[in-house]
Amino acid sequence: MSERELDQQLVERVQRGEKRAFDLLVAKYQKRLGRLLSRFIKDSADVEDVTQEAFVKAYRALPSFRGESAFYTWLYRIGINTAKNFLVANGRKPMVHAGVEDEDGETLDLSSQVPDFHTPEADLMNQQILATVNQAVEALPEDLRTAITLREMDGLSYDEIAQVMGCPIGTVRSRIFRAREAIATQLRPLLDTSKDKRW
Amino acid sequence: MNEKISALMDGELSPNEVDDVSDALLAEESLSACWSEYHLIGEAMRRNGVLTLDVREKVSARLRDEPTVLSPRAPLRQRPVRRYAAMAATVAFAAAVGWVGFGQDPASQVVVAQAVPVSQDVFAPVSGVEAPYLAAHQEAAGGGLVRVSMAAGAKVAH
Amino acid sequence: MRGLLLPFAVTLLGAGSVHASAADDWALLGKAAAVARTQPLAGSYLHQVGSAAETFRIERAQAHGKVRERRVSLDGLPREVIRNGDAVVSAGPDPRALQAAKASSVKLFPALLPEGVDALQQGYTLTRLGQSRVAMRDCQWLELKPREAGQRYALRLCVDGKSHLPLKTMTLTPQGQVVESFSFIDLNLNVGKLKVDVKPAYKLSAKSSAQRAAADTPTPALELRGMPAGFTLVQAGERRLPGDEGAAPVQHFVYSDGLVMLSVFAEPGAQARTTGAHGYGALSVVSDPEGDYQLTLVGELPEASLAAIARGLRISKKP
Repeated sequence: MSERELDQQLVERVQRGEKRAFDLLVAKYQKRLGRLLSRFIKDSADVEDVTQEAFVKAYRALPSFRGESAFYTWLYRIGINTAKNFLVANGRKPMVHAGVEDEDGETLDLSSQVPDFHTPEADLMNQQILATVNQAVEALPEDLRTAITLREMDGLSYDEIAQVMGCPIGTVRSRIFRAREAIATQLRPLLDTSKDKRW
Repeated sequence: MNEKISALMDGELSPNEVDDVSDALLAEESLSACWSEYHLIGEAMRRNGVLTLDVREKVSARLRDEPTVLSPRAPLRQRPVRRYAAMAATVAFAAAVGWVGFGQDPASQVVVAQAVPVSQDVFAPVSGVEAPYLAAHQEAAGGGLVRVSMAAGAKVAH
Repeated sequence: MRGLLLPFAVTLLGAGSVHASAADDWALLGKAAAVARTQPLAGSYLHQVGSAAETFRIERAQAHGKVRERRVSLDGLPREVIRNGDAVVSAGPDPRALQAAKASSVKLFPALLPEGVDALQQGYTLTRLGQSRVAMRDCQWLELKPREAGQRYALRLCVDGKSHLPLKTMTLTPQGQVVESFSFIDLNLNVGKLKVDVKPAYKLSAKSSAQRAAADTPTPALELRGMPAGFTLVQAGERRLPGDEGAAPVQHFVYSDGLVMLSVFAEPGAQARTTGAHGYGALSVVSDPEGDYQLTLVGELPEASLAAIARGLRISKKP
């Protein structure tokens, strides 16, 4: 089952009344959506608010989502419109042209505002996560590192990775899992200590 | 179970396993934490700059007060598509595009030469002060549609 | 060999002996305009501007009166322009390519003519020239020449003898110099039930549609007078310039004579960014002060003509 199909299945679960399935979609997409929105909203607290608002709107609109587009493109559109409304409400005119299209077919410029997202604390935490993950990846045995890199950086399927690495698909699956677990083991202490902090 | 979650998020779990694994994911907090961590790792590897953003609890809290959504229709089945690719639009660049290599007067060639010092044989962006005007004109003239609508208007008038 | 040559000789003779009337020529141009817009086809064409050249692949299908068309650049920046009925979508992998795609969407060869070509009679004369061969097909040259000599470019089209599809076009200066040219390299008109995917292949896309463009922009606070006869205002509004959204908005007027698009930007002189005149292929840019305002004209006209138009324009605030 592909990622898109998986998303669709989670969506269907929400549509059948399982709110918890939506939490999984939030966990999966919040940082991608946040990164998108940070390109045209400067303040990090604002980005977080708009991201949150976008997810709530998406939840309310979910009965009308019929799977004609991928869930994430649909979510991005909602995010962009939420951001546009936010900018208008705050007296900042949304920039049009050359960028991502919103629902009205207008384009939002994602490029002309330099994101100024980082508060010192958030920046530090960000750096720590990046450094930890980076070091953990570097420390992996080569076959695990290759497998996880081909998956996360290059977006290859298990089948493609199996061809590249010349091993069975089952081995790919196991290597990627072991890589993730090894990295997560390094990451967890960092996430635990920061849990009481707002991040 | 964690290995299955890893395969699930990559879209590599067989359909008959998906239901069980998603059920477990929804039921057990430790598993959904694992789901979040694995996704965080991916974002960090792709150098996402907003890794500290976390709205899970706030969204969840707000949804508790929301009426449960129920879809009136059975959703469409989709054919599989390739993996999600990160959204583009990162470069701060909005130049108009013109063609270089032609200019009737020396002045235009100077402008072009400044903007594009290399290859003169293909389409290249122009970045002089007039670039925004060119871009705006091209947007307005884009699609050849104004021609269509104007002709339609003219026909009505006749 | 004789069998091959004979039909060609007959065609040549036919063109010389039968003098087609002007009305017939306009009718042929009308057919060419319609076919250029709707004829199902698959092929590649070359687009040349000055010394720059690019090739595109185009595929077009028609079903229930609705055209589905996709054109993809084969060199230069990767980009595509998709037409689905009245909607045109430009797409590219990054903002720069998207901008290039928008530029490519200005002229959707072979559909360079307006739907009702009769409206062109006011500003242009039509002449039948010689014959030629393009993409292994015989074609007839037609020339649209501006009535006021030296003001606008002339357009030549070589129209397919069988289908009436324009196979090649040339834009010429008043001095007869070619500034832009489109030409099919290979062409298949027998495409059967061709399937054209209208979903953009790239991440970034922008849609343009005439209705939306007209509806979206607020009415400008200014009035322009002095535009030469033949140019009709097709769009007017206040806007921010792409890539310059931080700056104050400008008034944007778009005129067309059916063949040529002309933009006039008006802004208070103090904020204007550009002066002088520049040429980019067939596209010219001219800036000229007018009262308290700075006018910037962008259009597919010779620079000198654009400058003359700019000098003749008068601007006033709407009461």
